[in-house]
Amino acid sequence: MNFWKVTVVGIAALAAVPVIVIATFLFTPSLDVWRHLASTVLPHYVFNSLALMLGVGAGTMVLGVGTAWLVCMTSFPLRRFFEWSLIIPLAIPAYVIAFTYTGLLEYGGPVQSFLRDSFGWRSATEYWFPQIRSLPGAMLMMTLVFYPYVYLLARAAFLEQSVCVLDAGRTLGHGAWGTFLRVALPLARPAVAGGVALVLMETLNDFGLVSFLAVDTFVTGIYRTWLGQGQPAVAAQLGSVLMIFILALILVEKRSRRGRVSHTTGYYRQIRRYRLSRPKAALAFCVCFVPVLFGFFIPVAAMALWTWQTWALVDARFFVMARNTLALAGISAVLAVAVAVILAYGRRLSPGRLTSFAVQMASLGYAIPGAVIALGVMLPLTFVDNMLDRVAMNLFGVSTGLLLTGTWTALVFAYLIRFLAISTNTVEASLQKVTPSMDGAARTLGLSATQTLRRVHAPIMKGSLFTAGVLVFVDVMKELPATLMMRPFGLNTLALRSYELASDGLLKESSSSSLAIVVAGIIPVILASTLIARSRPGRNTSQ
Amino acid sequence: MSLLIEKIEHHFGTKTVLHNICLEVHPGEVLCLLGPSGCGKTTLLRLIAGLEEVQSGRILLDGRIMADGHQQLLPEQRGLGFVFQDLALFPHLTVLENAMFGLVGMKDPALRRSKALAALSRVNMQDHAGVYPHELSGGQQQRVALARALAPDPRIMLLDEPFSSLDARLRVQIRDQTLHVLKESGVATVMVTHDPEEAMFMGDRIVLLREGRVVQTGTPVELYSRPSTPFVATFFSEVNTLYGTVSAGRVETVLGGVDVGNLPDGARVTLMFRPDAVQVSTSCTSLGRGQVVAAKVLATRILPGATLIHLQLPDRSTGNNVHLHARVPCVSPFPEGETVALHVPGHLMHVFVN
Repeated sequence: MNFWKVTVVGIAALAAVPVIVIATFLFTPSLDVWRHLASTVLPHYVFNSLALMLGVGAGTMVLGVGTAWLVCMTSFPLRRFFEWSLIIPLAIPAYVIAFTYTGLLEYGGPVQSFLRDSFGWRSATEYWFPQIRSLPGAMLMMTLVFYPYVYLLARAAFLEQSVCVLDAGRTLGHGAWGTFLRVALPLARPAVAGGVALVLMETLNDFGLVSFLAVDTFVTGIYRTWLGQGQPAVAAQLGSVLMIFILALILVEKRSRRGRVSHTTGYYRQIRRYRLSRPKAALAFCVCFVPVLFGFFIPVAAMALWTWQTWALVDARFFVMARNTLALAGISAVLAVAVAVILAYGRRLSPGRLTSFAVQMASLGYAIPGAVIALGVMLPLTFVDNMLDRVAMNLFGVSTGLLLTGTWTALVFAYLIRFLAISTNTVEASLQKVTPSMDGAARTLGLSATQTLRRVHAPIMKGSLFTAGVLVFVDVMKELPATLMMRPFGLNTLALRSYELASDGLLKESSSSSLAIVVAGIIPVILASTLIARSRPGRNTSQ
Repeated sequence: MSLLIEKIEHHFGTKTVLHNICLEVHPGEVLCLLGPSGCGKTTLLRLIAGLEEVQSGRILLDGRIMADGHQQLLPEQRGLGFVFQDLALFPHLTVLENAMFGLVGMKDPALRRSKALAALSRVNMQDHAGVYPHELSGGQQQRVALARALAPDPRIMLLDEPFSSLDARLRVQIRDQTLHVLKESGVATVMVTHDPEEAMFMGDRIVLLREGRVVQTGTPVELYSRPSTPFVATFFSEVNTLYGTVSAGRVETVLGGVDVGNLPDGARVTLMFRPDAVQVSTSCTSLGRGQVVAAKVLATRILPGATLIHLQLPDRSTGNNVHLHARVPCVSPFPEGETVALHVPGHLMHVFVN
């Protein structure tokens, strides 16, 4: 056991605490609680969660794979624009899109008002309009903001496929459609499965959208039983069931990585895109335009308009909130990058199964819903607080109150667990760019280990460290469930305010906060899309 | 500047990768560590550089201890140049900055710069000083890596398969240039390679390693013409192999009797000779006074610099045919199917007791 091993394992153990705490509830079921859950809310939660997974999974798969194929393999007007813009709906948190569309489509919203005015209807009884606050509504909106996960991975998979394989499909007598179904799609299947697994994790993680649309799922159940009814043990039981779902998704995602096809030929050529006839090209354009329009432009336009209309709300209090949010996200981002650097160096300097496993454990949080992490952090902290309080009472006769629970520290700790995977992946990828022989070269050229770190590692990695920080920063800004459940007294953030105003029915008023979050959320999307523009294999032969 | 390696043993876990290695590199000499992959040659190089800790044995440079089982000089304290297999150029620095990287001891930046430029001009890369490594071709990158290692005037140069990333044609050209640069600078050099031809081209001496042991050390000529084991003989080129039993200081083969000196009667031996040792003629008389046997030409192939002739001889003791290769230094005039005369001079025949 050297220094690095101990440190990495220590971090992993800390990060695994909430998962372990919640998982123990799975093995210590209390029958009363279960009987109660099973006879009341559980079937409802299970049904809604499964239905959402099914609907959003199918929707994102069709939309993601379809747009990826069109963009990679065919040529139609504005194709290059769609290549990167298809991922921008990712910038909008699910709860924000729910607020916006509810605002647009509810009875008093502009769409229904316009219809009533046009057709002379006077009340809701005179016409039918789809209910936006419903399970199908939730599916549709989640699909709109989550499909880019599938799009990104499917697109990467299509680009990786050697043109030869596709050409072979053509020469063996299959048309464009046949080649897609029989060659390209099966080859891309693991990547698509991985993308859908990520989507489903996000679906299960979501709190703001489902709670606002009154679609009860596990996460809203956890929130209600814990903070509404004050039964954390029951909430933890729910959380432990949710973990089974998550575990299955993690396995699917891991398998999909292993199952990615290794291509037998490294022969890449500019893909010869299918030339589409005019009507088909128009159709392809629409297929790609619709998700971008409804997933980004319409909601952003609506929010911009409403922010304009409610400009008075952008006052001193708004800026205090914005400052809180930036501080919270900034602290978390710096810490997440620092911990990621420690993990990455630990794995490099002390390689082995133990450190690899520890780093994976530390990165598990990306799959665990924020609500579950919040619960898993709060339960042990409350326990520790109560113990400290009792000890202090016995020894000194004073009550310490709650030292850790409900503090910024606890909240930042939860963020770290949830988002550590993002920074760790980024930092590890960039550390790989510093090959071991570069270390050797620097040392034989007369630099000490510290000088090597400063003059070789730091300059090569600094860009990626910044990127890692930005990614975590934005995710913390957008985070809702853990923030809501663990908020320290008096803390308000943009996400919380947006959610609270929307929950009170003040949808227009909530849009200024939402818009601020979306603007920040665009940064990582821009980072990703610049990567996309440079990411064709065989494009850059000099590297 | 001489390097002395004494009784180096090295283990990875339970596996011993180097057994009792002793060798010496003389000033200005290019020594090649040659061997198949996994023979421990790269580990030995990394031990010399200090990138790997010496477990037992000693390494001395000019009589000063670099490392023994107790103390180690850090790599940066040893004053040596290392060219890595993947070159390891720093991607964030220009060619000039790469070349200046090792000049840490020099305070004056102008001096540092001129010294780095001098190193670059030795490999003819001074015109590319301002560009980044990824803008260079493979051969250019290799030359920059060499210049970077040479710039601080190292006491010894270590090269780890430095040409393996280059394609065949370029490799020949670059290693020629590298040899000239090394010889001009007069630095003692240890180079690791798995390619016998490269070792013969570059090395003043070759150390042939196998499974962590030194099999034979010597000049390329010695290893090629006086191999100590069948492994050494077969490592440098394809060989023809015959087997036999010693009887009264001679072994009877399809090529006639071969003198084997004072080996005991009944010893079973392996006889090896290279295709270029086989002399072929249409008439017996032109092959001189030695033993001459007849063989049938199966096929003739022209190769760069030589002609390869596939020959077939009847083995009367077994009744089977023996297949031999001959390599003659001209466009072969022997048509397929013809019978020719063969002779292998006794001093080109390598005899190994089984």
